[in-house]
Amino acid sequence: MPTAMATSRAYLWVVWAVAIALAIGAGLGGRMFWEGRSDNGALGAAQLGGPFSLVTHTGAPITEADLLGSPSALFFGFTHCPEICPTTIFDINAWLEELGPQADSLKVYFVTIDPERDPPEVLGDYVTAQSDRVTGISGPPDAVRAMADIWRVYYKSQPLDDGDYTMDHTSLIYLLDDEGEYAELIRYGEPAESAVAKLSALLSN
Amino acid sequence: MVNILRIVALAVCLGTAAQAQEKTLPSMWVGDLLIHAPVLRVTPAGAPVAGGYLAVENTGDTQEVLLSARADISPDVQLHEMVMSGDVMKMRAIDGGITVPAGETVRLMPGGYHLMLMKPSTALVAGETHDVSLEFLNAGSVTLPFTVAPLDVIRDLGKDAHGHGN
Repeated sequence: MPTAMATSRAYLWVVWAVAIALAIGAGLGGRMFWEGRSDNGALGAAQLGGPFSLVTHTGAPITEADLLGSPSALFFGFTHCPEICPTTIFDINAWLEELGPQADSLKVYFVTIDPERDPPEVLGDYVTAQSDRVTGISGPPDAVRAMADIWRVYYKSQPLDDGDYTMDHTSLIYLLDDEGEYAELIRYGEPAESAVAKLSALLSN
Repeated sequence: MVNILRIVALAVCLGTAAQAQEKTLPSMWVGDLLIHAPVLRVTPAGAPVAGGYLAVENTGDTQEVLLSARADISPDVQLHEMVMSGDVMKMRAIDGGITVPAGETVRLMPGGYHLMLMKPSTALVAGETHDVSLEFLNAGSVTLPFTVAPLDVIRDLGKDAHGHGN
């Protein structure tokens, strides 16, 4: 028996060693990813995007195939968000207004990363009250997580005092060309001129 | 002077709102504290949360602390801080209140400190006002009208607040 125990202990150590090695590898990969981005000012296109299957705020199914045929802007947020999410919608409204008819072909998507509290109808009330250009996307939590993962979007719930919670989340706006491929990103707080220029470039391609 | 300009700027912007009842946003004294431009962000009906902003100028020689806030239109008003960690937005409830050092002004504005009004009972419409009570460590409690304003107006207040024109 002692021999069996020693063997199982050794086995555990191997499992841990492998897990740690994997974690380090993942960390390095992530770091290379971020450093790569800072070098060329944009995310590496190859790693972003892919298949997903969710629903819009009207309950209609939406997949990556719906991102084909016109350029789109994609961002992630949640309705219990007093700051960055309404700010992003407000800014997008202003940018589209400035671009005028040129921006008519742009589709704008707000993906909730809090689907438990943001089923389609709740999300729909939220986005349509703030913009007639934004389509909300929700779905089963696992499917939302999978969608966020393919865009390398981070999110995590954080408890509040009253038992409620808020969400940390990536604040980037991803711009996709009419083939659904990642083209550019707009950061939170980016000057309007820069954001409008990026959208204009996307729309004129 | 900057404060007066800021208030006038807001009054002009709000003046365009049909519902505007007040043409100016008075600064209010609470003990040694001067409260500037208390505003709530335009928020649609049914929104789960709403944001509140103001500047607290401490003209006294004692440190003050904004401990908490209450409002008739919300069952729970929390003090929050939004911080960016790289491209990740993080929001935190603030424990122990917001400190306003003697002789300094602390601003609650979009992208930083804010009042978070949970489950507002009504839509917040530009130009309308709603009472919010603030509880300070030394100056005690004060209730004052917060004017509802759209984000661009609130942002302009923030720009002014950074002073020196931007």
